[in-house]
Amino acid sequence: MKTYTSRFLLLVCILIIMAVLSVLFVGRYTLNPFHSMNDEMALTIILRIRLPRVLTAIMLGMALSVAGAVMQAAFKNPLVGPEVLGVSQGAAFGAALAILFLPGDPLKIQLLSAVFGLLALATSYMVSSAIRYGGRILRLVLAGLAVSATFSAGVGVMKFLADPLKQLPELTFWLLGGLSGVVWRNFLYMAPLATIAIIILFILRWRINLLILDDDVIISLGTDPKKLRATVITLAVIATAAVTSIAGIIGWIGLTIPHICRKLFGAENSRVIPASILLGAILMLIFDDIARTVSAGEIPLGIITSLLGAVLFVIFLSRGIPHE
Amino acid sequence: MSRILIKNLRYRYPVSKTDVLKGMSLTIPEGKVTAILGPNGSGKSTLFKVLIKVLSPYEGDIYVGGNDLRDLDIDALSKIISWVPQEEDLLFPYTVLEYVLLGRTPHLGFFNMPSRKDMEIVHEVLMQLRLSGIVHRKIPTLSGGEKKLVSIARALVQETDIIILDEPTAHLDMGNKARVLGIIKGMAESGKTIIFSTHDPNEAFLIANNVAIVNDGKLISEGPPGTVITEELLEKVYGVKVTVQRADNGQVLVGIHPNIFKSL
Repeated sequence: MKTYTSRFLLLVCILIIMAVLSVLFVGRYTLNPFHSMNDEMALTIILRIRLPRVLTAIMLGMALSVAGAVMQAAFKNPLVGPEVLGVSQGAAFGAALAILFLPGDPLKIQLLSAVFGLLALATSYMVSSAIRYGGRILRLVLAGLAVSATFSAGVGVMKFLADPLKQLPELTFWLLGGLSGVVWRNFLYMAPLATIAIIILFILRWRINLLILDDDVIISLGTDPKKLRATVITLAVIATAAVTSIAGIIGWIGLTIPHICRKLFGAENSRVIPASILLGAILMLIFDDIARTVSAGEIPLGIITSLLGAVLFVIFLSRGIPHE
Repeated sequence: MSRILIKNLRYRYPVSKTDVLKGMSLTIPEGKVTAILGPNGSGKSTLFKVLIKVLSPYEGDIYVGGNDLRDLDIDALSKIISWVPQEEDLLFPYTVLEYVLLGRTPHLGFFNMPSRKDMEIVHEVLMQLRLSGIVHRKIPTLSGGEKKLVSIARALVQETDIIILDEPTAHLDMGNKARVLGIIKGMAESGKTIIFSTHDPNEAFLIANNVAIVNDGKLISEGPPGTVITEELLEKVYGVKVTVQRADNGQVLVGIHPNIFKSL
């Protein structure tokens, strides 16, 4: 397993470098890597347009994948992800509120989407304990469905109220999800929060394993399960909200990537978390490449991730849920 | 010398109107096997969960090695007492090695990963319990007996003086039961203080030095199995006529009295 893991890490690092180079030089305006250093126009495109986008895509993939992995551990449920528990729709509602009523400041979008993301998560958790039907996993998924539907109704109301010329395009773009138009300022707004959350979750990767145990056993091992769970879920929501405030709703990554990693490397989180971070980064770069280049106009990234993420999810799930 | 001293312990679940533990007093001797014997609902599991600080607050006093339990936080307690629950629900397919390693948590800093030394301790315990052959098996694929032994291994790598086991032989066949009881006895012989709960008086006779019979949240009797486990007392606690017989080889056997079926 050890050599298998280190080979994978090496492969992923090479793929990331290749993907970064391809994103930097391939696009609507194809650049020659050997002549770019002397070409002022090429340098401008690389440094001002493509580099912030590449870095944002990497951060987006890392944040959503790690958030999915730790939420699945924290809820002892391999079927949850930011979108299943209503976090994405809650964050969308928060962002819509900010776009409509507090315009002109990405920081407010970020803050409100984080607050409503957390609120949606807490609501899903509370509703799931009130549901008297099915097992724990089913209850949580059902509660997440109900909470998602409620917040998406709220988003619908916001769309209805939005100024069709100014606010509605911004809102629609945000809801479909994408990285077109990302500039350094966007990246720098989002990067510190997302980076801090990802680093802390990475450092806690072994400790997060405790959450798969029953609460009485966790206590007997000297750790307060409620505090640990609250800490990692808050970090996961912060990471999700930070990237979501820039990229909009990007579905299926948080659910699919940790599943693939568990299939490849086993369930233990000190492998799943780093593998999810790396695989999330590489897949997001590839998906964003596809979004930019596959047609004449850019396809919103959220559409690509939902389509390909769902296909990958079905492929991996049809080969057995990670029980055995 | 007593390892755990319980004085007039009362506990009530938050939603309940009546106490589950109704003034229980009990002494757990050091380096011995103590069996907590009692019918379903007598408060055995509740007592254990109070002892490992899963349930609080309680009334009365509990001293662990001379310290008031209230003054010990869960971090300090996790270095003194380890806990083996009756059943564990593990949904993610961790391997035996990965799962048992979690028992080293009390000895690691919050941000630390297990070291080579932790890994060595785990391998040593797995070897002692003859589980080396299944270190890379995934927990959901194990048999009931193997799962129980793996839980005990997790508690052993915690390196505590006291180990509490909640009905460790429940749902096990005779072979696995014997293996688990043998391991419990061995742990006490190596100096650990063992407390385990059971419905079956025969298990107390087989391995316990000390028996505490509890019923309805109170201690009924306490002492060596031979003096405490009598037909009269068991009949009173379980509400059914029983026989306690000594076989030629000295083994004591407890069973339901066959006459009760005639009157049904």
